[in-house]
Amino acid sequence: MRPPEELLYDSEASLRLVDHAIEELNTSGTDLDDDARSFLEHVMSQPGGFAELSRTLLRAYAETAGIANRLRDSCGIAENGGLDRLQQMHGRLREVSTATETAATDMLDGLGRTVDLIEQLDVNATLSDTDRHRMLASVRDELGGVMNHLQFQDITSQQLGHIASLLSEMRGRINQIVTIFAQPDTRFVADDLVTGSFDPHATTAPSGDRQAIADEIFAIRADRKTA
Amino acid sequence: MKFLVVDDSVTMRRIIINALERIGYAEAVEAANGHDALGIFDQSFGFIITDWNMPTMSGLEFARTVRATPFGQTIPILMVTTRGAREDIVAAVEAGVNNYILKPFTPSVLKDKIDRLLAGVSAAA
Repeated sequence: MRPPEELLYDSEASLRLVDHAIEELNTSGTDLDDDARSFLEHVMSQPGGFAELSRTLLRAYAETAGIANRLRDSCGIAENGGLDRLQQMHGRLREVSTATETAATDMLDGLGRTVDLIEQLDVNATLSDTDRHRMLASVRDELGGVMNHLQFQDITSQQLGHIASLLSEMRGRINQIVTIFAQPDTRFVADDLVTGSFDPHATTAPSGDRQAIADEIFAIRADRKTA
Repeated sequence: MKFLVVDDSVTMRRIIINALERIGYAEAVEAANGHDALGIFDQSFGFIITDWNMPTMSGLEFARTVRATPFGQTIPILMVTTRGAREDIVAAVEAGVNNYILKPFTPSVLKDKIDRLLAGVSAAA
């Protein structure tokens, strides 16, 4: 298939040749029958004649090429990280959902064990002071553990903050696409990007491995200070 | 020993202060970000526990600013954060943070870090 620019160039050249031939016919004084002369006069009376047709073709091509470029731009905007962002958001939302459920289950388990301990304390009048203190300490530990599980709220709020920023970025990209196809006089109010104080890599996963790296780095620092 | 607990999450501040009470440190003042914390920070404090990601002023910037004050050069600063990348931890070291806890943490880890830092302060005194 020939490229459109080449076809357009050939069409325009052909039309110019036809236009030139008609012009010559008109001015050469060649004998023409009445019908041919009338047709010729009609053609020549049109503003611009055939030459104008070639310019119209050029304008149409320019508009078509512009639309094609805008389509390419919008595809680029969608491809340039947009799909990755959606995938990231999906992963993050799943993590938040799982973390919430795990924390809720752990807290319920802790509260269940606390209730059991309190019932034992309540019904068992023969407990020694030592056993009673041991059980009370267990109650405190269980309740402390329940409170500690609430850390998930801080971590998942950072994960949700990250999702909100990704959504804000996506909204900006969609606005760019809409602006490409909108009427020239349409004005879109740009939203402020959501920027927050969140860690994009926040995770509720156990921190043991990451803590080990931190401890190693701080140990090296301590060694350097004492050296 | 008076603690300054800096975190934008009310939940985290309560968790940390509760853990401090359980390990024997009952005096703690809280702030929601580095800027607010600087407003109340003075030489009466003996220990700082700070988050990293906070609005207005991050924990990293707060640590740097504290280190630049006359009475903030030796106070132990413990950062409690989710940021576990090696370069983040190194940045914390360079900002003057003395130790680092990754969330989620247990009270025993918090106690261990506080004990170690306070032992270091005692040894240096």
